Amino acid sequence: MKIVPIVFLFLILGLVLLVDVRTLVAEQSTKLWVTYGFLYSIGSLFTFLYLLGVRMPDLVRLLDPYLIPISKWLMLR
Amino acid sequence: MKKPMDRSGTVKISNLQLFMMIIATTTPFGHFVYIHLSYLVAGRDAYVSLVVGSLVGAAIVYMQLSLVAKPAKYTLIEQTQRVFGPVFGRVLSSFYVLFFLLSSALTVRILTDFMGIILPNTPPPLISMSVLFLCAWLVFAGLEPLVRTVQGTLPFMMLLGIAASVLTTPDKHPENLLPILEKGVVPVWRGALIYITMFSEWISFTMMVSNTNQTKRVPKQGLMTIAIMLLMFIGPVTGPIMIFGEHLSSDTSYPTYLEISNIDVADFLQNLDTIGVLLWTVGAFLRISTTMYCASCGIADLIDKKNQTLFAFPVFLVVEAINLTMRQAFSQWETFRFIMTDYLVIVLFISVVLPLLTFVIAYFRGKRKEAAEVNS
Repeated sequence: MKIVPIVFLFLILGLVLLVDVRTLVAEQSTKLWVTYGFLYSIGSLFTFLYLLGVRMPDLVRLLDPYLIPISKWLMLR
Repeated sequence: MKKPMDRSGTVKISNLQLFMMIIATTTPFGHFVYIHLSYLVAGRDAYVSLVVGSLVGAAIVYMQLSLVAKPAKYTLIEQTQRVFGPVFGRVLSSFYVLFFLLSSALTVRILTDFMGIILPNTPPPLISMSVLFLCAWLVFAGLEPLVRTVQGTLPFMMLLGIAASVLTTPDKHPENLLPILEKGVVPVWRGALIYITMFSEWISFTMMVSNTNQTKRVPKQGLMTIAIMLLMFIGPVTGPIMIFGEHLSSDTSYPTYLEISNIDVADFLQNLDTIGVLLWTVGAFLRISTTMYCASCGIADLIDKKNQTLFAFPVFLVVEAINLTMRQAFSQWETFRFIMTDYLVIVLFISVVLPLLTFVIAYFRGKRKEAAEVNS
């Protein structure tokens, strides 16, 4: 487990949330709440899982079956 | 059809500021990353690839900028929704946003690796979080501080770059560039694709064209900027090959950095590594900030919000998450390989195929509308 980055991430998250909560309260928009919730959960979940040492699925590699044939056709491989 | 968003009160920038931003974000990353990649595939013919890539890149950039410059009031995301309708348009637009996020994350990943050389004991996530947090703060401050930062730093960066190029002149051996096309045309084509990718990434700036003072002039000025970029790249592309030869240049991860490190003038102007570090870190910082700004704008446009910097901090977290998953999945060499193969295909799809499709449909719709007006 990487303690220093985790503490640092908490500090940043605290500061960021302070700013963003003010924005959310000022805007009063459901669309904004949903989008913020989605982005924050994706971002913080993946970051924490990485910092806790959990092996995550390789998202970029999921595209390989589509990208490899095209890159071969372009003579990149 | 989607109506243009009311942008009264939004920041206006001059065309010069836009193109300064393009140069400041493209040049350092190109010098440190794309030149090395072009050496790996094209060897000493990398400069031929650069010329070919610039010619094709000019056509792509003209098309991309025309797509948003002619209607003048729309960002890329709005224009896509306008052409493809609100639902399908939003689906296609989200690809652009994902691309901006990926582009930022990739830059952070490479910057973190580079900083690891200077700060070997600092955990990489700490470096990436610090850089991204600063970028997010700049994005949150808005377009004007971003542009002002570029204006303040670009002249110094250019002066340092030109000085580095001039100071290495005595060590250059032009005969190292010969023979031309020794291995045929295919390596040159592969190298050209890398430079085409570099120019295609200018799709990010289509998010800011509607903020310029003279929007209609942007496409033509884009072509002039390509010519300036060609001049700014020809020295760094040929420099390491002329000094170290083809093989050593290709084997080094950062050949232009090595070139700067080897400056030795009159026994007192030596070891100018710091110039390289400064150019690269400032350039990467501006590039990350710009792509994050575009991602934030894109998300705001997707949900019809006028404030374009609302999503600076959520974007920061998502970019860090992508960067960390990439760190887990790729070694440094695999990251470079990813850029040379898969990323290149992604860029060509997002920056060439999608905008071209949008451009063609918008063009024929415009023609049909004109014909209908004439007939009536």
